[in-house]
Amino acid sequence: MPILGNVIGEKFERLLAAARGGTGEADGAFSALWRDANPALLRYLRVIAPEAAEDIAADTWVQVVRGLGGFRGDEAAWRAWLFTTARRRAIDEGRRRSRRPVVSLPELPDDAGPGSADPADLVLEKLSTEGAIAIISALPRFQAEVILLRVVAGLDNQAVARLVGRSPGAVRVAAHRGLRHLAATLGETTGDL
Amino acid sequence: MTRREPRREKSSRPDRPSDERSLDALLEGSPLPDRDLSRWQPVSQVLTALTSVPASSELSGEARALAEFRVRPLPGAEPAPAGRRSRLTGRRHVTGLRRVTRRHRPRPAVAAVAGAVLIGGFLAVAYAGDLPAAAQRLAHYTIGAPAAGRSPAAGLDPGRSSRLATPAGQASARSGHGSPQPDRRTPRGSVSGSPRHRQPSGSPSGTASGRPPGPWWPGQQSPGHQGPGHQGPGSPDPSGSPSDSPTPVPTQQPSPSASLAPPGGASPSPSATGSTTGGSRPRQPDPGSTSSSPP
Repeated sequence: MPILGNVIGEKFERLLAAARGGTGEADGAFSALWRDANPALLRYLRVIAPEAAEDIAADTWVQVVRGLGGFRGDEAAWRAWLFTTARRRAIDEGRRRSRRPVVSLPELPDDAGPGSADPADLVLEKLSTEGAIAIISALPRFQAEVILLRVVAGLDNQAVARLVGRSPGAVRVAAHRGLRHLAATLGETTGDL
Repeated sequence: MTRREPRREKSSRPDRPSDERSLDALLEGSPLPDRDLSRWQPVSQVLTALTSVPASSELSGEARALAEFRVRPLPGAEPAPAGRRSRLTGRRHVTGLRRVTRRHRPRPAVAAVAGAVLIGGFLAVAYAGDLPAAAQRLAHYTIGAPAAGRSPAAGLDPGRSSRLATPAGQASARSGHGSPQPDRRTPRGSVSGSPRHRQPSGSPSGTASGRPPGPWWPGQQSPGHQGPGHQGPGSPDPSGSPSDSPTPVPTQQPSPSASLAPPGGASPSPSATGSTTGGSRPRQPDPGSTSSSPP
């Protein structure tokens, strides 16, 4: 299964060094890193913080740009750092919004977004990325987050466990439960039709 | 036996190991086993959709991210100015010293220093006698500052100033019972006229009054200081009110400084007693011990 089809691989070290160096290749190197990771980041954030995914992603990149000079590690560590930063920003944003909730009713979209309508219907109608995000969003929060970190971010079980602060066993169990839940939901919807 | 029952229930599901293998394969992107393919196919399709090719909307922020990247602080360069507004989010970022001070704001230390400065300033002004009359009076009664209307020089010995400030002290000075010269060796607190110094001390020393000799009680106004029944304006506590603990009548002769003893039986220190007697008389026992040990 492709992890957004953009695993950098062997070129990662060179791209990271170029982006850190500030030479003429820095812009291109950073663009390559950004294009590889930002779609996954947005998909992850659309599930765990759907109301502010773009803002949190932008904030995450600001943090990453500032810390780029001090980052050391391979591509897996890079992704773990990126999603850890995004997760922390999402938590901060959730706290901020809970203190000052903002509901703009006229701006609510008419069509169904993540968490609205029946996500399984959306998937069956149009199995797009948005539909997949919608049906994943219907899962319990921790299960959905673990599945996204495993599948979309491409992190292994240990890295996800470190990121969410749980044991690897708990992460594995949550992922399995989420997938079973997903299968049950899709099976029921298919059966009803 | 009871512990094995749940295990038997778990293992009674024949498809569980196969399930876990299939689920792990789904999470890792590995090919599914053939016999589970139909069962997990919808889930696999959802996960594949999650990892599909990025849409253009997901790559639309590249220019802004690149702009933010170009203005990043390079290694060895000066840090960005605090409060720089992000081009990506439009939010103001707190950097450098501002961020550090926000995280480690020494609020308790600042409050302690400010409190110390305020208290010190108040004390200085109070002992200089520059407070307003009411505040100076309050400081006089609470911390022994010079009384209101006294010069700062007089305020060097608050005990003296408090004595002279009261009509009782002035009357005693006029009556010739004692010299208004202060006893510099007298500790301030020992002869202060403030209420806290008018605790029943049982001090029998330094009495020179027209009161006939008789029992002297702790808490009673110092004998010899004023006439019977006289109560100074600055001595709200009832002088002469007998207590339950009579003390021996002091045998000490009146002395000038002792006549300046404040109302309420303030207890001059032994040094004060020595100063009034010129050192030729044997010292009286410490009167404080009388008051501190009620019978």
